[in-house]
Amino acid sequence: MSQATQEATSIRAAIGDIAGERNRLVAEADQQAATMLTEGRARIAAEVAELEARGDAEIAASRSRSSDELRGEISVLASQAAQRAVSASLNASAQQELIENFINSVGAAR
Amino acid sequence: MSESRIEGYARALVEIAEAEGNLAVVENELFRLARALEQSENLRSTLTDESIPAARRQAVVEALIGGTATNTTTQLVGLIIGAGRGRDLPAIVDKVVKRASSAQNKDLAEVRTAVALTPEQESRLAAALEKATGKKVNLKVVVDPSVLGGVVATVGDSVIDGSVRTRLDQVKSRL
Repeated sequence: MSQATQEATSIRAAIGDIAGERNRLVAEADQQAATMLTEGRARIAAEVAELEARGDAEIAASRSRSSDELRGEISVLASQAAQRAVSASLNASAQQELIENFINSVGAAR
Repeated sequence: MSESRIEGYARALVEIAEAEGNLAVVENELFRLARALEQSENLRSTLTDESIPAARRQAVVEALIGGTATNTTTQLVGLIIGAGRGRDLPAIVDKVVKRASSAQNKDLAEVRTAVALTPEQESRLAAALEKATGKKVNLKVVVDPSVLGGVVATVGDSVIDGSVRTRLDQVKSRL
């Protein structure tokens, strides 16, 4: 095998490792986000219920508007509620935990 | 400003800092100032407002960083502002940081976090990124509240995103 071929093989293997590692880190980050969202779920549920009630009222009052438009507004409101709930749960301790998890995950990459 | 002119300024700054024997310190101070400039509309508009005399803008730089940065950094920033290139300062500094990293045989690792890291965390994160990438890194941390939580690390073309912002964006797109 020529040196160039060996180098190309080595580079392809490294790229494969990086892609695999990135997928693993994203999966771990997803798991962290899921845990965080679980903690705020009760709060979100109440807010979402309120939003749904407001959405229902708005739907009743605005039948002439398209359902797509309404769904879009509801999803924006729901995502804002999710952001508020997550932001509220991000105290100093949670911030440090996220940072430490990231450092440990990246450090365990190879 | 053209790319070649930005390169020219960056090269000049690196050579001056090397001649003064404090390139690592100067590039770090320049990096922090450039990120502050990006994040503060007030600061940006003051330092790039051509209607404000250059001497006054240089005085603002002196007042802003004179007490905390090296004399070399203060003089270099004053030079750029005085030449009416304040708008290009972040781009020039980015080139300086890349050149300084190359001079140390390191890759630039730009890390964004919602809260500041301790020096010990910065040290462990640099070591972790070096282990993951197999390269020596020149770690630069930017405190960016839009990250919300976690860390986004960019090393060369690789982005390792462990931020709450991105997770929320994914939730938003699913909604």
